Amino acid sequence: MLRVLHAMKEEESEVSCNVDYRIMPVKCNTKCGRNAVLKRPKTGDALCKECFFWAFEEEVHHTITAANLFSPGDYVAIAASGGKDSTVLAYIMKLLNDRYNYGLKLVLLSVDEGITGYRDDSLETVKRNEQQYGIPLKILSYNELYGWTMDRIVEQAGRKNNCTFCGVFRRQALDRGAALLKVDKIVTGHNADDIAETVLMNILRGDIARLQRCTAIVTDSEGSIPRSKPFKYTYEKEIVMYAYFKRLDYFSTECIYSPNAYRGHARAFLKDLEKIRATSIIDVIHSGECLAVREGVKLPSPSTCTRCGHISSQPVCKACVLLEGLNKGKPRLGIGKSSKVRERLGDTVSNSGEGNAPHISQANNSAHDF
Amino acid sequence: MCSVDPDEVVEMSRIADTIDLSSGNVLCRKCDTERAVVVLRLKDVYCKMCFLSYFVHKFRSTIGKSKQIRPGDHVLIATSGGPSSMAMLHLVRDGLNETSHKKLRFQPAFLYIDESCLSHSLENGPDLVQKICFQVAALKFPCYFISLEKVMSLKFPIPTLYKDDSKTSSVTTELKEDLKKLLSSCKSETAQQDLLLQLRQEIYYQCAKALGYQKIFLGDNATTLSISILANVALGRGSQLADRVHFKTKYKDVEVFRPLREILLNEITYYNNLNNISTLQIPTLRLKGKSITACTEDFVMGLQKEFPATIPTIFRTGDKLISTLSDTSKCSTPDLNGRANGDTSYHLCALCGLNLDTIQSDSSAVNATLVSQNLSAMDLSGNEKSDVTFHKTDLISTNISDNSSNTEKSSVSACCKTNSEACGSEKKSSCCQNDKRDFGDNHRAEVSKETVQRYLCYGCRIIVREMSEVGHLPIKVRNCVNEQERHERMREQIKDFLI
Repeated sequence: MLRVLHAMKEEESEVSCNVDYRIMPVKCNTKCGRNAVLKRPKTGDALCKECFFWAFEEEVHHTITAANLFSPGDYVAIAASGGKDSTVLAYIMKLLNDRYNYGLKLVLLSVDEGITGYRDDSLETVKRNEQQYGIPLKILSYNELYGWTMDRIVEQAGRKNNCTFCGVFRRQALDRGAALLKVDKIVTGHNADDIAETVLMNILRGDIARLQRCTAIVTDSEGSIPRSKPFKYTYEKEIVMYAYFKRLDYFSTECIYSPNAYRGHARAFLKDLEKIRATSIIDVIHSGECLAVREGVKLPSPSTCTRCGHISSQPVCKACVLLEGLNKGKPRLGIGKSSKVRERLGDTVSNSGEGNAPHISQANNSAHDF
Repeated sequence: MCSVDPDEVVEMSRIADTIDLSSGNVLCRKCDTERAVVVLRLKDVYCKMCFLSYFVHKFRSTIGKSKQIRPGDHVLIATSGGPSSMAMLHLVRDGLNETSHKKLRFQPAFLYIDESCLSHSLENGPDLVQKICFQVAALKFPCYFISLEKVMSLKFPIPTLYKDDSKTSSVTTELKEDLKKLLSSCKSETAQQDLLLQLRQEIYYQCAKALGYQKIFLGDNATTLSISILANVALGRGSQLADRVHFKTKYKDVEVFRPLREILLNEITYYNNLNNISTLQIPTLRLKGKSITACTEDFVMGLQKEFPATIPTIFRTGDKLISTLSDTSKCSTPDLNGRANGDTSYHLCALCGLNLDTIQSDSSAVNATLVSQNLSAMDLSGNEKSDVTFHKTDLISTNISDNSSNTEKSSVSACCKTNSEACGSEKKSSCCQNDKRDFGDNHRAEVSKETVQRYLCYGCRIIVREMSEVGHLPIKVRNCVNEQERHERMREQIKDFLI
């Protein structure tokens, strides 16, 4: 026994973060006197519940203040899906807004993609959050915005590219919803894992323009509402820990339509890296922040879609192309390389002449009605 | 929220069926007359002659189009005996033997780094030197060799020129032990491997300087470079990516070139097989667990099997990227470029010799990490949590040396000698009491972990953070840290008068 204790002592002095909780209670690293209940994935320090909450909240506060994400009086929409990231985000935005007098007016903004069995349940969570945190909620549906629910899109386009539709439509849906609510800013629940994964992903598929953009904490282009990610440096595991110990109510079922396979590889790779070295996630983000594009490399210049006016690097934005494909019964129209899409789009335009726009303007109208 | 990227509209094409050459009646797609023996990019088949000319052309055009190698240039070519090195040896030989306009016109010399001290089979070190240098000398090229542990020495020796009768056994057990201690003081395999890369880079540089070469050729190929691009990102070395993978890079004042960079490893294997070039399996650091680099290699090679565009895509991406720290970057995130102004003479990492990337704005991963470390290691025993008001300046200005209970360890014995009058301030007063600490090695350049980290880049900081004893670092690194520390102290004293 003595030898075991001795060995443990040695181990502890050598690796301060490798503490074994099963044998004896470990004191919180901050010397607050309480017993530690968790090991922080981000730093390896053993902390008690209170000190973890405090560190977690202060870090998000630091991220917000260091990047000057908000100014007093801002009307901020929290993109809420009912999942863990956005639930914790809503909770913490409310908490920090009160604690540090940000002077923000908050609103929850949810998008209903129309996925039976997935979105119905998660929207219930968001509605409960509305009550619990006292933040008003707005729900926008794909059906209202585009005239299509995801269920119907899958019926038409199949399971292979459905996530492309959903993702592209959601991006615009948030922008449209935010514009309707006349908010100044949008915050999303993207966490450090998501960003690190996107950095790896963009290197793998050679998308340098997005590689550069994806590490920015605020994405704003002219004419659009700035979006920011207060959880940019927050580990996914710590968000789960926070929700777990705070007993926050969130919805944790994967979308019933499978996610993109190629991103799955990047995610698996990041998980492997994290297993080898826990700081890998933040290391990848640091790398991403340090990367710039060499002179002489062509980057797509941002402009607006000629049909709906939203931000687009192409003359016609992805959402409009996808929507046109759906409405014409050619769901694959907008899938694939943008150069190929332009060709195909050119064909359909020349074949059918003008007059593809009505669907879009219809969608716009319905959005305004809402 | 579903985590699928809304922009994820680029499909990666999966593998198609590959062509089977075993029937023996597939013709070369180029000349259409000869029997194909090589399949590239899954469906492009070539006969021996067409493949070889394609291969040699890629090598020569990489050098040629860069216009960086001038006639008469003296070039030191690093060789390891592996597939890339041996292919390069033969490509250079053939190039120099060419007639008229096709002739390569530089003056090559080869360099072999004996890394036998890393593996446990010590006795085959001289044996390998003999084997590899003999192959080079047989082609009438000068070949130098040196053992890796020399990187630990204070005064770097000149590499030995190989002669037929030269003795290749070297007995420098002390440095060997130093190097072993250094590597074993790194806890993780990742850190060991990463550190080894930095040492290798340093020894190439030292050799080039000692032999008077301004240009070095390295044998990196497209496959290893793609893995290296992703691994560097994973290791937090994104800012150094360009310095480690582009065709021409500068390491301190020596130019480094990678003429095989556009050639894939499987093409090199074909080339070696078709030319009956034998390659050696070089024993290197044996790792117990998996390192980040090994994990990246498995990942890239696995993905490559499924998606054949993987390696070329990563490679081209790496080509377009540079560091935000370099002046020519089109930086779209200027907030990350808010570097502290000050003199730029000390902007290189003391360990890897590349640009420091640790001075970033408040809103950056570097500072977010510091904030996290401070918050979860803060001593709260004295004061209630609610009393601790946090100003961001508190968190940011708290640099690594003060962030933990190790403050008293931030001692630099040298500082006390040169800056004894500076000992008034609290931090320095503690260092004077502490300078009797013995690191248990013969060199006098003592440094603390916290001090060392201050002069390292982000990637090297991770290596040092988990080291059990920084006293094992090469003496040159420690001296460099001490020198910078002294300079920093001096600047501190006169900073009010600097304009």
